[in-house]
Formats: sequence, structure tokens, C-alpha cells
Amino acid sequence: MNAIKEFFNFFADPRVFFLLTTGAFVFAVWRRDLFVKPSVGYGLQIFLALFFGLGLLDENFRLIIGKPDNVPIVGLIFLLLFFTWYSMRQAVLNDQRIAKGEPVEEKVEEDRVWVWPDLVYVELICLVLCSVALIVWSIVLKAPLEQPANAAATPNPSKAPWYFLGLQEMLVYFDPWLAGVVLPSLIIVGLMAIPYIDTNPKGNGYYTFKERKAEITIFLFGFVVLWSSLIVLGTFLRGPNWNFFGPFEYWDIHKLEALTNVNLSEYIWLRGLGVGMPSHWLIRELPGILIVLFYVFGLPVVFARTVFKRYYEKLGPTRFYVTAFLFLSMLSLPVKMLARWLFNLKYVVAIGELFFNI
Amino acid sequence: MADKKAVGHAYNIDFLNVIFAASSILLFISTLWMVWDDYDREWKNYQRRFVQLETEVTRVALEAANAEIDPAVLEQFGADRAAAEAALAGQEEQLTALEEQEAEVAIQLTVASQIHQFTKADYDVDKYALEVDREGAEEGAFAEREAEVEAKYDEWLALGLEVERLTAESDGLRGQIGEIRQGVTDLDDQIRGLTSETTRLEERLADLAPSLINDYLLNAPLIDFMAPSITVRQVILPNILDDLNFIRVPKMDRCMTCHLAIDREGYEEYPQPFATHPNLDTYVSSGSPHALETTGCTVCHEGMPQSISFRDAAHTPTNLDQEHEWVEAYGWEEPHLWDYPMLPSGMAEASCAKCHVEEVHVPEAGVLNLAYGLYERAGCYTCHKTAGFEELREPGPSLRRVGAKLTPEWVAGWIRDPRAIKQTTWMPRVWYGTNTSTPEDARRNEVEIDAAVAYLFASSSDFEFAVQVPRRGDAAEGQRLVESVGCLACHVAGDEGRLEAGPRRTFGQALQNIGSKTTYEWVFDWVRDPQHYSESTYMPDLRLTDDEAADVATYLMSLTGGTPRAAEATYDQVYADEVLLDYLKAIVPTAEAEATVAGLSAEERTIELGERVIGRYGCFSCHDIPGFEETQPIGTELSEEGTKLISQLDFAHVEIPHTKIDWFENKLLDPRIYDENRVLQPLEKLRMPDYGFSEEETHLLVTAIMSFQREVQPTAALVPGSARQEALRAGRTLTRRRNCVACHEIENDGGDYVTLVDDPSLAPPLLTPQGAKVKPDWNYAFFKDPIAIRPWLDVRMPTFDLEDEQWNELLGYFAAVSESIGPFRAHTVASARGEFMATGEELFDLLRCQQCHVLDEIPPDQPTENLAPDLRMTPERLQADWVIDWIRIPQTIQPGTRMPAFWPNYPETFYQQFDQNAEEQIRSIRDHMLTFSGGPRPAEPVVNVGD
Amino acid sequence: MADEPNAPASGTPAPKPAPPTVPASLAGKTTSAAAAPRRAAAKKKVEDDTSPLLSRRGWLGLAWGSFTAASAAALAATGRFMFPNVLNEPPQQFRIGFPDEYAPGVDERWKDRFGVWIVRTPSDVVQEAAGFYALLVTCTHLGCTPNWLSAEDKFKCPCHGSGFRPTGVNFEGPAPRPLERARIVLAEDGQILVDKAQKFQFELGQWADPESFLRV
Repeated sequence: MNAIKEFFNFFADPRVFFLLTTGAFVFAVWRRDLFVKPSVGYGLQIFLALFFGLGLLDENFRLIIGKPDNVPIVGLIFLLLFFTWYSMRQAVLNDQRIAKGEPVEEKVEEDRVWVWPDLVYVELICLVLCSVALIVWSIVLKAPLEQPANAAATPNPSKAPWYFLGLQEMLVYFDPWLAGVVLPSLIIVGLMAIPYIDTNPKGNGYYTFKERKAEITIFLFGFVVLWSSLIVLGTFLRGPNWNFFGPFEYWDIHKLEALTNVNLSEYIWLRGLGVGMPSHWLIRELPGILIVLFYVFGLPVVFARTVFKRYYEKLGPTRFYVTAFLFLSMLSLPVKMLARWLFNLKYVVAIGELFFNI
Repeated sequence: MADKKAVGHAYNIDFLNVIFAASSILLFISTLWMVWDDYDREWKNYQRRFVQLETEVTRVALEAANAEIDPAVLEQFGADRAAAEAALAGQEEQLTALEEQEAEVAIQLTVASQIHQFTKADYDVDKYALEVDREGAEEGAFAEREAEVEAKYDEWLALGLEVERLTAESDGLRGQIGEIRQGVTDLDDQIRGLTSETTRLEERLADLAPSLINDYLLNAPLIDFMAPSITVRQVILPNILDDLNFIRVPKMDRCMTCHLAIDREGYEEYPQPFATHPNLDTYVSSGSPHALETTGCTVCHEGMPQSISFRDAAHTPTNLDQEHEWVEAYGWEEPHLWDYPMLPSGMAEASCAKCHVEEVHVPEAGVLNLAYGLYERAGCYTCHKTAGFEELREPGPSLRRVGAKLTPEWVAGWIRDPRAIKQTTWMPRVWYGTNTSTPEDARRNEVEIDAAVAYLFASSSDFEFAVQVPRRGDAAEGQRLVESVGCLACHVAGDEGRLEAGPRRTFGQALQNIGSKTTYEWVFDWVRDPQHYSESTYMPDLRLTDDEAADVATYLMSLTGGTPRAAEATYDQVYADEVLLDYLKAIVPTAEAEATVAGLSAEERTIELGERVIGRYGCFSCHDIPGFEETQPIGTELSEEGTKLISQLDFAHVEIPHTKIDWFENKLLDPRIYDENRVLQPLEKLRMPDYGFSEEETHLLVTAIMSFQREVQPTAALVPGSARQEALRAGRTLTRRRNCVACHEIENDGGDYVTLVDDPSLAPPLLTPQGAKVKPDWNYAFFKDPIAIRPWLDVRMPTFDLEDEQWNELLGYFAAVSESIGPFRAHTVASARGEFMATGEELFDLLRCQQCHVLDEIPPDQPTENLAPDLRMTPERLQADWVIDWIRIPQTIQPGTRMPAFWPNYPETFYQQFDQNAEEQIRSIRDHMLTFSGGPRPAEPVVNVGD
Repeated sequence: MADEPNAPASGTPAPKPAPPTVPASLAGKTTSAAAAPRRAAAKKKVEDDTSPLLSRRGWLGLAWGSFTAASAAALAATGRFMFPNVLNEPPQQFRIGFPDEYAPGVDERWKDRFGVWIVRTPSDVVQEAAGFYALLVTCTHLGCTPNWLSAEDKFKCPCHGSGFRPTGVNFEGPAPRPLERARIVLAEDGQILVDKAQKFQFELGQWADPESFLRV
């Protein structure tokens, strides 16, 4: 029993967890023909159900999963998996039909149904069932009444609401200005920009993957891997002092972890060249600044000329650059995470004088 | 799937109908479930059970009340009343006529009154209008109006007369009616008087009886908003505040929702939550100083005030058994969501300090007072700064002249384990704690002990005994002296346990095994004059002659024994140097430390290490040690420890329940326990020494610690200040901190010495009446030069070296206790009435006062218990008014006294003088006593002018 | 789950008469053509009802019935919610000390805190006995708080001039009825207990009630 628990505790390390999620994502996209099989779909759900069900036998697991705040996130995992699987399945089926020259399923179905009963009646039933669920939920899982708020006593851990846990996880790797203001703004701006940069006319009104490979892959990566799985990580696997704790591990507030991270400028000047840190920040951070500038301005040019030449031609320079910029911003999170895990890198650019770090 | 559906439809409607029906039924059931879940609360069940309980109790009371009524009497009343009614029937006509008349007159009166009042109103209006109008006008300009107003006034007067006439008529008629009915109404009253209690109880039973409407309908779900009998009960306390961290709001206590009988007598035997509160006279009842309506519950008991659920209110079990019981019965869990859970039963007195701020002695708070006594005697406040305990002396003896008293070998053995030598000592054990007991630790311990000893002796100043070669005395006589003169009030010489003896009898250092500790010369010097060796000692002067001192010293030196703990390791100079280096490296760089060490001789190194060791372990807090006058104590400040959040206490690796009280208890039982299982450098280890506290001592000390809280309550909640309160507070503090109460009882506390003598009359006198009894000036002179007032007593009042300010505090305390007027009251006796005095003398002889009250010489045949003070002291010593009270009610003033009560049924008297007027008899005796003179008196206190 | 052709659940407009000709290519594809079998099916509506256990009507009745019941229950619960279980108001019942702490006449010491005057009288107007009664400080005209004018031996309301005798009986001004008395009894510990939850009105004859007057 303990061995199994240790096994799962291991897989919940953020490095392992993130790579596992990315790997699973890659598999789901690359071998989607396997992924969308009903046996795989059911199998995954059953596996999750077993995992949670049997896991409840462990006290530590119960404490985390059973906390009324965390119960919806359990539901989120099941639902997210189901909807990703279902939509991918529809897309794969449609792709197969397109390959055979058949019309897609949506075209074959009735294109009109009655508002009553098919739309509204079903909505009414859903309304009733959701009300029942909420009423029963509110009776069974009660919100606790706690002691008066005390500015001198900070709860440990202090977690953001679930929809911000992804951002709170980002705060581990990024400076608050970036993780809290710049990147979230870019998320919103990026979502708003999608209609303007997505010129692919395919895929309107029917599921497909092949005809919108890049778009779907990028979105799913951003939503499922970066956003949702980090929420799951933040909810279940982050404990006191924002340390990592496996799902079957006791939340020991005294657990210590060595956070020994080094800035790029320190790597280069102190450890690499062996000279002292230059006094002015511009010189000191020059290597980092150059790297960032290259990442933001140079890489897109490189992409345009090489790997994504096709896209450059299709989108035109403005659209392409905007798309590339957003895409690179999104990738900056996994890139930074990798840099942290591999090199203990703290900041690429560390300008403490201006409270600006990247 | 598309081909399975018909045109225009996406779903099978029949199936959807079934789903809809099923989900609607689910919705209905879950709504009902929600309403029920909200309605069904555990406190409602308690209230329902209590109704049954109250019915039972009321029924029992009713039976008892019924039993008290004499049925014969009741029957008689009934019969008399029937007879009176019958008699009334005969006067029926007359009665009716009178009543009709009265009714008519009443009507006339009502009308007349109304007209009378209206006339007055009109008059007032006219009068005021006139006053306004004629302002500034010339005399006589408004004569007509004035006349009118005058007339109106006369009219009103006339109407008033009419009203009076009618009222008188009505009263007369009513009187007549009343007379006729007299018999019946009288009997009615008598019956009512006889049955008032039973009627009340019967009505109450009727109220409690289950009724369909009151108990079921009005309390039903959804309908219970109108007038439910099962309701939440609360009390809002405007003067007692809850600290919500950003605001303080009036407390709202809802405990009485379940604790329904808390303020009612009669429910003492029932289980919680229906039990009556203990000590209803002091707590909870309306007339008590802590009435429920003004004090509430949680200010004393803590817990969550607004909660009405057993768990959320943060009830704390008293012990493990109760905890298991609660887990089973209520699903109890450790309260994590409330910062200040309830104090366990018995620890509620920790909250007294919230309003009785910085009071060392809180009346009737026995647990707290003992807790503070222990806290002071153990000397916790010396290392742990505590508000309210700043002005206390060091609890340990001064070590400035230790060279004259002790030997280094003895001191080393003592420090190593004090309780091996004196089991009741308050000196804790610093080394060989649970975190310093390995063989490796033993080596270091020995180094540190030897170093500390070396420092003490090196810094000890020279001291010469007052008598260089004192002669020896008689040990048996010395023992008799020690056991009778009063030493045992403050010192333990036998083998009582520490808690058994208590903080008062261990106020002075234990005398066990003192013969093995020091020299005869030292003991003789000390006993003869303690202040010679230590100027700041609290030990008073017993005024022993040199012979007596020799006897006592010889006896004490015969108390030998105690096996000091032997050293458990040896070490060499190299190791000792390492230890010194370790200390120095903590404050200076290693190179400098090594240089320092190299520059010292071996002896100097030991002394240097000794200084560091004493600084680390904080010995200087309890003992006056040269070189450490300004050093700060090493402990955490405890002034607000009771308010500390649990997240600030480090439980380390120790598995104990996660509560503050458990943390404190475990800390006190083994101060080094939180080092368990930790990897630590020697200088990182915990250093609080081990006092060997028992469980009871620990429990008391935790009560004291929990009483140290942040001040939250407003002035309106505190004990009202007044000069008397201040005098009481100052006096109580002084008498406890100077241990007066070890000998003397005052305010129902103290007088522990009485347990050491065979008869209470051999104990020091009761001081409660002292303020009313003894003249303050005489008292002050007595303090300065105590004389023997009661010559049969062996125990003697020592000479204390207090400042005048302190003596005044004491005298003010006495006055405040007996609420006597201040010292400025003279009483002169007019000795003109020769006959009065003669009768007084006559009574004095008749009552044979002199038989017990010595006037000069003690008669040989009188057993000592029956002797009484010399009455010649009366005019100078006693307050004249008090003497009268004393003669009248000696047993009330001093329970257990042998002074007879000559007037037990005052004002009845056995004696014939003054026409059997007891008051005059007593006063004449008192007046006669006021003519006495020549009794023993203390020396006149010398006032040094111009100092 | 067997899907089969259903008649539409809600009413469709009455089927139009069939058009004279239907082109072959459109056979079976026009609304009216589809309407024909539907019309025929409508006649056999009853046999068409394939719901298990209950009829279609039965299920719908059950469904809407329990939905309505649930909504009614929820509405009632919401209504109940509007009445708090506990109100932070001064208590209706309170003790006011021992009888011998009161001199004869009107005592104003509890007027501000509890809203009653305590009156000690040697002879009550209704009960004709000596004792105490508690007058509520609410003027029976429009609810202001009158003042006690001891010099004029009356309660006088400043709002519209209503005047009341020390007994509470109104005698001048617009007040239609006397001041109300509160329940007043002796508590178990001997103190006087006033209970404003129970009122006694003179005009209803309630001042004869033994709990409206405390005899001492």
C-alpha cells in the first residue's frame, strides 16, 4: 500500500507532473486515433474514479480532497478529461469522414429542431437537476465558520481562488509584475485577438482537428496543460509554505526545501567570468536583456524564415508577428519552468532597482 | 444517431417526461431536506428535554409545597369563607343599593373631573395669553381681562371643591362596601397567602404542559417565526468587549440556549447542559457581582460566544476520559477554527485577571491566588518578564558573599541536582536535563558546573561574622524554639512535599539538611541578625538572644543528610578550553576567540567560562551575582502569554494534542521536551531549568499563565476604583508578598500556621477585625517595636524592616477590610458619672474578667489556652467603639475565641444592673476599662527630623 | 433507447387540407406531406403513448406538480428566512430590583434603558390593592414617548399634547385610550420581573389580570 502511495507521491512532483501532463497531451494529439477510442475514454474515467475512490481511504488524501473548497476541482478533472476526449473524438470522426469524402456529421444531422421541447425542455430539466445538485451540495458540504480575521496570523497555505491558482503557480517562476499583470493581460488580449489572427476558414460549425491543427494544438496546450493542470497542481499538490506535497503526504508545515536560485547575471558575471557584478544595471543585465529581446523580436523573424514560413506567407507580417508574440509569451512559462528546473535559474533579467524582473 | 430520431426532434419526449418528473420529485425532496436540515438543530432538542426536566423538578417542588400546607387549616379557611359568603348573602340588598349608588357617583365624578380639568386648561390658556399681552403695559390697562382670569380661577376652585366632595362621597361608599365585604376579602387574602407557592407552581406546571398550539404548531418548521417557545437565548453585554482584531464589539453570549438552568437553583444534581452554576452567590445570579445580564459567560470561560452548536462553541474536555466520551456522544474534534477555545473546567479563574487587573489576591478565587503564589515563589517572573510582577525581589539568596557561607564542592553538588539535597527547594536543576543527559553532554555539564562555581567564588566578597567564635547551645532547646517561635511558618524543616507545604511555608529557604550545607558560625550569625549577611533579605528579626540563637543554630546544624549527585564525567583542560572556545565563537570570530583563550591562564579561563555560563543560563535572575546587575533576563516575556496564538508555539517533534494548554503543561513538566529528536549544537539547545513540578503545580501555573492577557475590557467592566479598593489592593499585595498571611488569617485567607499548633488559640491572631479594633498609631508603634500582647503565646511577632509607606499601606488595608473610619478619631471618656463607673467596675468583677484577662501577672493555675490580653492596654490600644461590639458578639468577630458570650440573646440580659439594660451594662464595663493604665506598650517610634 | 416518430408535444396549427398535386421528386419531403402521416398519427394519439407506468399526462402532471410543490416550498423557506431567529434588541424581560428599593409614586429609572415607568401605588384604580405596575412609555396616540411631569402629577406627551394620569388613564389631548401596562411579577429570587412581551390594555378590561399588577 505504501509503495503505491509513494509511487503517486513521486508523480506529483511539479517537474514530473508537468512533464507528464505535457507528455499526455502530446500523446493525445499525436496518437489521437488511439486516444479517442471509447475504451480509452471510459478507461481513463474509471481509472480516475478508482484513484480518487481508493485514495479516500488515506487520511491525508481525504483531508485535501474532502475540503469543501477542493471538491469542485475533483469534478473539474473528470469533466475536463471528458470534454477534451469527447471533442477530440468528434474531431477525429469528422476527419475520418472528410478523408473518405463524406460530409461531416454536423451536416448530416437535422439542421433544425423545435425550440420546445428539444432546446428549452432539456434546459428546464438541466435547471432542475442543477438546483438539486446545488441544494444537496450545500446541505452536505458546509462552509466552516472560522475565527475573526487576524492581520497578524496569515493562514498557511494562503491560496488564491481556484481560477487564479494557475497564476499563483506562475508566481513561483516569474516576478509578480509579469506573473500577475503582464502575462494575464496578454492572456486576455490574446483571446480577444484570436478572431483577428486566426484566418483559417476551416472548421466553422463542425469538429475537426486536421484542418485546424495548429490552432487547436496551441489552444489545448495553453488551456489544458498550462491553465487547468496548473490549477490542479495548485489545489492538490501545493501545501504549507507553497511547498510541494504528494497527494498522500502529510502537510508538514516545518518541511524545508532549499530554494537556491541564481540570476542569469550572477551566473555570467560571478560564476562564469569570475568578475564582480557591474554596478549599473544596464551593463549588468545586458546579456539577459539581449536574450529577451532576441526571444521577442528575433525568434519570430527566425520562425518566419524557417519553420513557420508557410504561416508567414499565409498570415502576413502583422498577423504573423502578433501570433508569434502571443505564442512565444505563452511558451515563456514552460521555458522558464524548464530553466528553473534545469539550471536553478531565478531571473533572466533582474533589475531590482526598477522592481522589474523577467 | 440522427437516423434514429424523427424529423424535427432531437430527443424522445416520453423519456424526457420521465426524466423531468424524476428530477422534479428530486427537487422537491431536496428542498424539503434543506428546510429540515436548517430547522433541525441540536440545541432545540436540549430545550425540549429541558421542558421535561423542568416539569419533573416543578412537580417535585409542588409536592413539597403541598406537604407544607396544613390541610386542616386550609379546610378551616374554606369553611370560614363559605360562612362569610353566606353571611354576605343576608346583606345582598344593602350591598346592591350601595353599589348602584357608588356607580352613579362614579359617573358624576368622572364628568365633574373632566370639566374640572378642562376648566383648568382654559384657565391656563387665558392666564398665559394675559401675561403675554400685558407685558410692558401700564398698570390697570388690562383690568377687565385680569378680572376675567381671576373669575375663571375661582370657578376652577369651586369645581375642585365639587370634585373633592364627590371623591369623598365615592370613597365613603366604597369604604362601606369594603366593610361589608371585609370578611370574605380577608379570608380570600389568607387563603391566597397560604397557597401562593402552590398556585405559582401549579401555574408553572400548566405552562409547561405540552400544548398542541404552543409546543407543536408555533414551533413547527417555517411557522416558527411568530412566537416560538423554543428560541435562541442570548445576552448582549455592552460593557464587555470581544476583540475582533480590527474592532472591539460588545459580546453576545448564547450559551444559555442550551444551559437553560444555569441561573436557577435546584438543578445542581442534573448533568450538563442542565446543571446549575456552582457558587450562585458569586456568579451568574442577579444579585451577584458577576450577574448573567452584565457579565455573560464567555468572558470567564472563553469559547465562541455566538455559537449554539456543541462543537463550534469550542468546548474543551477536562481530561482524556471526558474527551473520549465527547468524541462518541457529540463527534467532538479539537477546535481548530477558534483562537481561544474554552478553558477546561477548573481553569476558569484564569479569566479573573481580565477585570481584576494586576490583583495579586482576588477574593474567592482560590485557584488563581494559589497559582499566583506558586508563580511568585518559583520565581518565574525573574526570567520571564511579566506585567504586574516587576517589583518583586529575587527569589534566590544573594551570592555576593557565598564564600563565607558555602564550599565550592557543596555548591557544585547543589547545582548539579538541588532536589537531591533539599526536596522542597524551589531551586531548579539546570544541567542534566532531558536534552543534556548523554555521556557526551555529561562531560560538558561538568565543565560548565565547575566554571560557574569558580566564578561565584572568585567574585565573592569578604565577610566577617559579627561574633567570631560563637559558643554552642542546646539542640533540644533549639528544636523547641524552632517549632514554637514561628520559624516553621516560612521554613520547612521536615519532609513535607513542596505542594503540600505550599508557597507560603516554603517562602523561606528549606531548612532540610542545612547542617551538611554550611558552618555553625554562619548559621549563628544569620539567625542572630539576618540583615548582617544580606541587607535585602525578607527574613525578619526574631529578636533572639544570643543564647537562643546558639540553641537554634545548634539544632539546625544537627539537620544533616542529603546525598549530593556525584559528577558523572571527568574532563581535561583541553576539553574545557574547547567549551570556552565554543562560547566565545558565538560572539567573536574564531581567530580572535582562540587568541583570547590563549592569553588566559587556566584559572582565568575557568572564571571566564563561568561568567559566560552564568550569562547563558540566567542564574543572575534569581540570585544577586556580582557583575550581572544590568543583564537582561533570558526568558520570553509572558505578559500576554494567555492571548498568544497557538501558531506561535513550536511543537517541534513532540506528539501532544495541539492546544496551548497542553503545550504549556508539557513545557513545565519537562522544559527541555521540545528539543526531543532535534539535531542541535550545544548552544542552540533549550535552557529553561527543571523545577520538578508535579501535575497539580503544573496545572496551577498554567492557570496563571493563561491569566496573563492583553487588555481588552473597557473601564466600565473593571472593578470600580475607589480609595477603599486601592487600599485593599495595596494591602493584599503587601501581605501576600511579605508572607504575612502565612501566620495571620485575614479576609478568610491565610493563617496557615494554625495547622502547626495543637490549639487555634496558640496560633497568631486573626487580623480581619484589626482595623476596627486597634488604634492605628498604637499599631504602627507595635510594628516598629513588637511587644508581647499575649504572653502565653510562644510564637512571636518578628520585627520587619519595612518603610513607613508600607506600614501605612498595611494600616490602610486593615481599615479598608473592617471599613472602619480612618485613624483620626479620638475618644474621650467622661469620667464624671461616678455611679456609672462604679457599676461598670461592679460588672467587671461580677463577670470575673480578670480571671482570664491578665492585669499584670499570669495566674499559675490558669491553662494557657484560657488566657487573654492585658486589659490595661485598652485605652491606648483599642478603639473604644470596637470594645463594645467585642463584648457583645465575640464569636461573630472572632469565631472560635474563648471569650465567652455574656449576652448571648442580646438585648436580653442575665444581669440586673441598669434595670436590665444590656446596652448600658456593656458600655459601663467599657468605660471602666478605659480608666485603666500602665499596661505594656511598644516604644515610641523615633522620627528622624532633618534626614 | 428506441427513437420513433412522435407527434409533436405542443400543438401544431391545425393541418391544412392537402394540396391537389405533389410533384414526385418532392414526395415525402414537404411539410404537408409529412403532415399527412402526422394527422393520421394524431388520431391514434392515445395508442401512441408509449410511456411506461403512467400515461404521458400522468408523468407531466407528476413532474409539474412536484416542481410547483418544490417551488412553493422554496418560496416559503425564503419567506421564513426574512424573519431572523435572533434579534440583537434589548431583552423584553428584565429584573428591576427588589420592591423595597422603590418609593411610592412614579419611578423613571428604567425609562431610557427598558422603556417602562415603574409606579408604586397604595391603591390601584382597578385592583384596589397596594403594589406595583409598569407603564409602557409609548403614547397611545401616535407612539411618541411622553414626559412625566411630577409637579403636575401627569404624563404629558410633547408631540400632540396627550395627557395621562399616573394610573395611565388618558384625560386630555388626542390619546384615545390609556397607556398600556406590562406584565409585572415577582421572580424566584424576590426581584420584580417586568415582561414587555405581554401587554395589558385598560379598555379591554385587562388591568384586572393579576399579572398586570404586583401586589406587595
